[in-house]
Amino acid sequence: MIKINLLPKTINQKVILRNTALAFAGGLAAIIVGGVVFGLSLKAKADAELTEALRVEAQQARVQGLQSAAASVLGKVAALDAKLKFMDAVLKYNEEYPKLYAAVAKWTYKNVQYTSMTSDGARVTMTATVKNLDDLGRYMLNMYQARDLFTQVSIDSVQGGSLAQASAGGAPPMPGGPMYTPATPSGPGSMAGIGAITTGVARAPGLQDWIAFSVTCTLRQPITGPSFNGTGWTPVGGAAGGPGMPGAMPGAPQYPQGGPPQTGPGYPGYPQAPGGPAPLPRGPAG
Amino acid sequence: MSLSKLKRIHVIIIGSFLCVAAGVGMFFLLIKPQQDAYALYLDRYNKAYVLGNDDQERKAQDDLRQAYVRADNTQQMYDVQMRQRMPDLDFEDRELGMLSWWREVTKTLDPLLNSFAKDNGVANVQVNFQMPALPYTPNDSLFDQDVIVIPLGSVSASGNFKSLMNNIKRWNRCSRLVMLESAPTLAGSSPNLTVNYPVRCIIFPRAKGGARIDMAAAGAAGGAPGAPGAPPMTMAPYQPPPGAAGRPPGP
Repeated sequence: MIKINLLPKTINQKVILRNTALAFAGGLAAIIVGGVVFGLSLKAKADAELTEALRVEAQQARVQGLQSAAASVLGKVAALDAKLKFMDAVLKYNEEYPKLYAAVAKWTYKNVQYTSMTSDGARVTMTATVKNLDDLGRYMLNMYQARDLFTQVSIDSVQGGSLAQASAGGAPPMPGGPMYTPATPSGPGSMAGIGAITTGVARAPGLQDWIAFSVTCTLRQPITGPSFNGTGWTPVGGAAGGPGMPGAMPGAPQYPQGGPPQTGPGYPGYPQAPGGPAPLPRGPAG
Repeated sequence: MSLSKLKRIHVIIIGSFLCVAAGVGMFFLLIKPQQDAYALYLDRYNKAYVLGNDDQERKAQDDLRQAYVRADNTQQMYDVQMRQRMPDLDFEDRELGMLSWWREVTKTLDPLLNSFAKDNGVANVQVNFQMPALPYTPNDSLFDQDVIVIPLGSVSASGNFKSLMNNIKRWNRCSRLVMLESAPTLAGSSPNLTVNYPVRCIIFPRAKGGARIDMAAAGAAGGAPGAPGAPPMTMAPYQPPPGAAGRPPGP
């Protein structure tokens, strides 16, 4: 049987075109609907994130408010706190020198008689007398042991003229500190320096049996006066220089008849270094 | 245009173009703005979360409580120190403040320090305290300072080592804040030592000077020459009257 299509060709083509157009229209609609749905879902997500961000930002503002309140509370008393700290520092500073002098007295050999002691905050300078070089040597050895107190100990002549002095080995110099030159090639702690001391001391005038000398000790922890941040206050003390020793010795020292007191060194009341061959006080290891 | 003239390829091209255009349009009009907004909100969240969380809020509340406690403690300690060591000087009102300062220097500070310097634990106490010059105008810059420093002079005393050291430390018990100006100098042979040290007095006014006073107007109104009994209007250092209490014997 023969099938004969009597319809015109255009009818079939129109159907195809219509179907194709419908397919694209469907696809277009799907794209639009899908885009809208996806966009709405994203908007919901973004809105949720916005809500969270606003909540967290509100909490952040609360925290910042608390922090600024705390800072404000502390700021109101900051000036008082500075004054309070300064007052405490002054009270502490007033006790620094007595503590220092007491510490020096602790390390002082008992047969040494101090005739003056002063400090500029960075160094302690003492003039003293001893009866013989043995006592002087023991005294110097004691001072060299005070490494927790001093970084350098040097002995100077009381007499005028050149004060270029002999220094015996002992406390090593601090890095960056003043140059330290041992009197002998021997290492720190060597007793060979004692011999050199004889060139640096002088016999006390009028007292042939006594040796007068001065010792300068560089402090490991310099003492500086407190300063206040406010106006009208100039920091004092420190290495700016103390009063030196004006009037420290009105006339010649009054040496007791018959030599120094046998009961102890110049400044009693504090534990003293034992005399004679007994073990000397030890500074911290190092 | 009649549909009959379109061929299938035309429909495909047009349909594809429309689909692509719709997709691109949807992306840029709907999706991308939401994505950008989401990223922006997420960034805000992340930035705010550093502080905006419960732990930080609790910590901030604790810090605030501690700040109140610390401020309270500081205030109390400050009040104690001020009561113990400072005069009640308020320069907010300059005229009253100046009178207060005069009273403090002449009637309190000078006798107090001289009296306190007399230490029974040592001998031969010698003080050479010099009180500051009294300001003659309430507009003096003295009243604008946070802190007033008075170099008093030096103290010397005799005794043994321990008593002299105690004499130095004793200034911490004075009812004014007195500070060593430099290191004490020891001289002599124990137990007959002599110590010499300069001191200075430090005073914190409760309030600095307020608004300056128009002195020209005051002068036009009659110019009060000074309150009766007030110290002379001079910049010379204050000299206490002879025989003032508390003045230790001179050298």
